Amino acid sequence: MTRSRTVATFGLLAAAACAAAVLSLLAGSAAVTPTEVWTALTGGDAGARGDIVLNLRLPRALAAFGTGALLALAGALMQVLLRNPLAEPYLMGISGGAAVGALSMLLIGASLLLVHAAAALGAALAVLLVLGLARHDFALGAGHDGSPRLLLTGVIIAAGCGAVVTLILSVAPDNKLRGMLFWLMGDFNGVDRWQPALGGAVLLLLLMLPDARALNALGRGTLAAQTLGVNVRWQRLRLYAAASIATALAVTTAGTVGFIGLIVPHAARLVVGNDQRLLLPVAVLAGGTLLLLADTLARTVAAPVQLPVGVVMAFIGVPSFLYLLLRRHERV
Amino acid sequence: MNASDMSASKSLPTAPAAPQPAPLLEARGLTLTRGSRTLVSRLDWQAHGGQLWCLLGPNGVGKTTLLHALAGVLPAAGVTLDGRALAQWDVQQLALERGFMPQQIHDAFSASALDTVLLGRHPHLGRWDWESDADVAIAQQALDACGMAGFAQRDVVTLSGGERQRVGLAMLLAQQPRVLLLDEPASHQDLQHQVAIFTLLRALADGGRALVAAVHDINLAARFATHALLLDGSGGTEAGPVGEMLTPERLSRIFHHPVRRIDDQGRAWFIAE
Repeated sequence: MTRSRTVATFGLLAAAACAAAVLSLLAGSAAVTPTEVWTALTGGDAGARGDIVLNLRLPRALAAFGTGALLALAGALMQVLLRNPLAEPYLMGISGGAAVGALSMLLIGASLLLVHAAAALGAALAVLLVLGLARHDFALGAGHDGSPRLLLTGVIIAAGCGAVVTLILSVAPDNKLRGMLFWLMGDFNGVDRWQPALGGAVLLLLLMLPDARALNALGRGTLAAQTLGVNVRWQRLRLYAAASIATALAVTTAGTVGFIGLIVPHAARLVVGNDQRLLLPVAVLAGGTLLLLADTLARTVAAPVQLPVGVVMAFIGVPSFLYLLLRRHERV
Repeated sequence: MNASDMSASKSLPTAPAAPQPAPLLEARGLTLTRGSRTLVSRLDWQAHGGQLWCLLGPNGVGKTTLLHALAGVLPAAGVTLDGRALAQWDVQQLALERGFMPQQIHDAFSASALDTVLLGRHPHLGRWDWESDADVAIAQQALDACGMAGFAQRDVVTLSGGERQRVGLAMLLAQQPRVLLLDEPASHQDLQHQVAIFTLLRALADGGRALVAAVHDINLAARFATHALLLDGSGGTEAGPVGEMLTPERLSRIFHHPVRRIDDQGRAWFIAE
């Protein structure tokens, strides 16, 4: 990456993010003019349509951007942690734990706040379970890489959570199934708390950026990283913690939106290479922008019906991931 | 590419000072076990600047385990660097003094050869630093020294096993440690590169660094090493100048196979019967 190409990449991404934000404020069943958006944003009185922009569309847009950024960041970090370019945030059971928590609350008809809280608690429990079971696998193994066992531990926890989710779905009354399915697909309908997602994304990125060169070293394996002066155990625990917090914040905001955490880091790697100092911020910007666009599409394409954003992401994600995968195969 | 590019590098930064009286790397009463087997039993051994040690022994006797212990990636009591126990060293400070080249690296992600070699500069850089032009020059020189001059922008996942191994060696050179530990540094190399790599390693030793390399090729060891450390697989070790250590009798015993010595043009060659 040359300096000019780096600047161009970030400039382009920032422009795309702004364009997506403007589009998300303009688009929707209530027609709002750019002037009204501007008036509302600058504190002027734009009437009822100003309220729609400020109190409905803006929080939802910020939440979508923050969630996409969190998931892309978590995906990039998990790929380094597991040294596997196909790793993604939900691989290790965090989303499964969150789903068990959220669906349990939906089953007993608890308030939205309790659903969020239970999702966060479920995610935390899944993380602690993986940490407890695989605590030795973060350390540097003599001559072997602890990653495969760490990965398998997470995958089994995820499978266990998946079984509980299926159980809840099978005993849930029909009138609650729709809400549960939307939660599982990922959905921003009614989301008005954007601060945890967006704030978390910015904070976690700033926290991980100083580690980015050490993450590059970890890409060569734990042994190489340790002899290059990286405290492998500590660094991998930090990685796992950051990825877990990012994933947990994302799923408590919007449920389990798929594909973002897998395809965005992958696509970013094709553009800027594998230097984590560039990859992490690019993934954050691109992930936020992509999910914001997907959510705008989800609530307008079949209006007045609102689709869960996860469905839209899957329709974007499956073909683009296949394209990346096959393209990569050709290159090697 | 040809092996003449690899002539040992005057361009590489010179090591500090001539051989010192105190050992750089020292094992005192080092014992290594795996399961119920004792690989190394109470090893007392010293490596000084200016020495190129080769580690010889059959498969599975613990050469790699011993290298890991000497590198400090396998916790083991009794190894000191500069008179200080490895466990007492800060990880980053240690990385400035000793480097380690593993036997095999599996590259999970694409990266250019130059970027990979630049990772060797990691311990030299502060948390927020980016590699300077000087760092890039050091990495490029290291690639040149390993016969990889034209490969700087090649993606490491597209390189052959031998080329990848030389990228690994270049990364170790860019790290510029005083103590270099290498696990079979020429195992994937063709003849010309075997000779070129060991010529380079010997030049580094002659420049004042201490090197320990696990080697399978007795003749490379005999030709380039200054010292040899032999492992017999049951805890026994023998160490000394290479000329004294490499005798047909001792090698036959260690490798459980008769070894014959042939003298040709003033050089000793060892062949399996």
